[in-house]
Amino acid sequence: MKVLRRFLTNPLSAIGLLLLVGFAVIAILAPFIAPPEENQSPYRIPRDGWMSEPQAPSPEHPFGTTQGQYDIFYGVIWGTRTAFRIGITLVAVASSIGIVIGSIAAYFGGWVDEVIMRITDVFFAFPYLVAAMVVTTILGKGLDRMMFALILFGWMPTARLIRSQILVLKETAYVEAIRAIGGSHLRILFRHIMPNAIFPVIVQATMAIGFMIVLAATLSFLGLGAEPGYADWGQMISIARNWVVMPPGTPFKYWYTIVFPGVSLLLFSLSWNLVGDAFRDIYDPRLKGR
Amino acid sequence: MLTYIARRFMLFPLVLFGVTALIFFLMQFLTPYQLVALYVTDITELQKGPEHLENLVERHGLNDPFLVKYSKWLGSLLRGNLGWSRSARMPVGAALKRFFPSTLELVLWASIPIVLGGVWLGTISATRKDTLIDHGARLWALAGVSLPAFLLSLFLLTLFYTKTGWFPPGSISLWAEKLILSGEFRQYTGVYTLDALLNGNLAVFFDALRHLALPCVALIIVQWASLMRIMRSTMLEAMRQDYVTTARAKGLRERIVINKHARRNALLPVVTIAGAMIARMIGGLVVIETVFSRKGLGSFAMSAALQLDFPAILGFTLLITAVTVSANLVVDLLYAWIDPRVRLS
Repeated sequence: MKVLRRFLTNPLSAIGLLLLVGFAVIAILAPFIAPPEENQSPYRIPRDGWMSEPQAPSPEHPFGTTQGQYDIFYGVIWGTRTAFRIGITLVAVASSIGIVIGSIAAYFGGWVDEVIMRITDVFFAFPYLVAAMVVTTILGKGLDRMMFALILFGWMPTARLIRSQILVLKETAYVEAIRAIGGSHLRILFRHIMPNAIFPVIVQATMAIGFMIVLAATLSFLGLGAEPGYADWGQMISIARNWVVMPPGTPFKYWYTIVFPGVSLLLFSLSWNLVGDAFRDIYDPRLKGR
Repeated sequence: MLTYIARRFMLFPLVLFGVTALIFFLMQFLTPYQLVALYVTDITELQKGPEHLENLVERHGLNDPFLVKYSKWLGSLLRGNLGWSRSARMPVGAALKRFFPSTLELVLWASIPIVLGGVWLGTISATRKDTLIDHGARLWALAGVSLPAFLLSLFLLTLFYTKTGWFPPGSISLWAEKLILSGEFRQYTGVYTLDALLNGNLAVFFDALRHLALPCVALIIVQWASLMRIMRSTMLEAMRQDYVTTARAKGLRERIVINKHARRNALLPVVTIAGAMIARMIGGLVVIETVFSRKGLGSFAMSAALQLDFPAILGFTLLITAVTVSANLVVDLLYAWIDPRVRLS
């Protein structure tokens, strides 16, 4: 309750929380807000004809249609589900891998630590976006392959963070006491160290979701992620690109093709960042009482 | 101190070695027949039938065991042969040398506002904590982090090029490029704005600046948020210190307390994130250079990655690693020098 109150008294975190709840409601209610067609995957955006040119918003298509007559409103609504799914899956899997690797390195120390941390350095050496692009291209484009690539090069920050946490906790008196009474390695690590080391990781993960969503959208924008017609904001911006930048003189004619998915993407990632920032302020002991 | 530097330099080749191993490992996901395409230079070779391809696979040792292939490849790498970049159609070394100045130019021009603006915003935000200004600055910073670089670039391009025609995409206008490549213009550094000034040619200077403006703005907006946030938190930390209370107690003006006492010390830890900022900037550069069609390292890496041009990807990664590692080393040494409390061991 105390946490919630602190969230709501700070205007920035309140906005973030509100936005996030709003997105969650849209994602949950998606089948009612934009009912999918029968016998179709709900993530396929229904299309109204095959014409290339986007059509302006109308009563039938409140946000208009994009290239190929895909309904933008439907795409934005179901894209919220895609965004939650991508963001949470990516961060959950990458962080779990990072936690396992980082805690092994920290707890056992010595040459195990040295080897693992040098491998981490190697993965860190690659620019994240470029590495993810290469792996996705090798595996053949697609949403799940793109997610695999992002996980493959996304576990290192968590590994480093949890390692530094555990290194500090390992030397504390209570851990020494448990070791003295004969607690096993695994028991000490999981029952006694982990619960104390995990919080900064959760804060980091919250902030990472916003970042991951942006990165995934960038890959989709480059044509490596979701295929055309899939309810994914990055993909929708990607097909809107040529209609917004190309026609000379009338740049704003097709504004709706990019504004709706673009603003959704921005607000979604902003809301996670706001919430993560507030989390950090609340739980960073150095910032307490200010 | 010396052992510290020595250790850092010993680890550097180790990481580079790991990078080559990882890239080579990734290459193995392609079949020998996909890899053979990397060696085919003439379309007629493909029309000679499957036996010829078989020959090519054999000749380049693409069916050899992993370690044999790797040692051969590493051997040629160590002799300084980075290989041929398909996507840029030139040797990788030449491509890196050619694209580096353009990226350097963008980074240099952008860093001045990033550093000044970030420090300024962070200070203001910290000294006016929890006021409207603080909330505004933090929201602005978080929006910068949340804003996808490609979306921002598209927006800028639409508004300032398609709509108004003020700032065109690309690196430089055609007429200026012709002039630069002609004999009259001496290329000292390859950085267009600098070369133009050295040649005393203001027309070329302003043309380069016009092409530089939008990518610069995009990079600044995406980048200064992280600096602003760390500046804010170190500044808050510094303002709690006893020496700040002392300075206030002896009656110094608030402006002097903040600028001379608190901020100087708050700036120290900020220096340490320079390396991390360079690393972060790479992702932004790749996207921004591509959207604005600038010919630089970022767009080079982008096309290399999309075409699986492995020699180019390797060359790019090695260069970036070298830059980040040396930046981190310089920062560490600099830090120990500015802050006598820090001892490297």
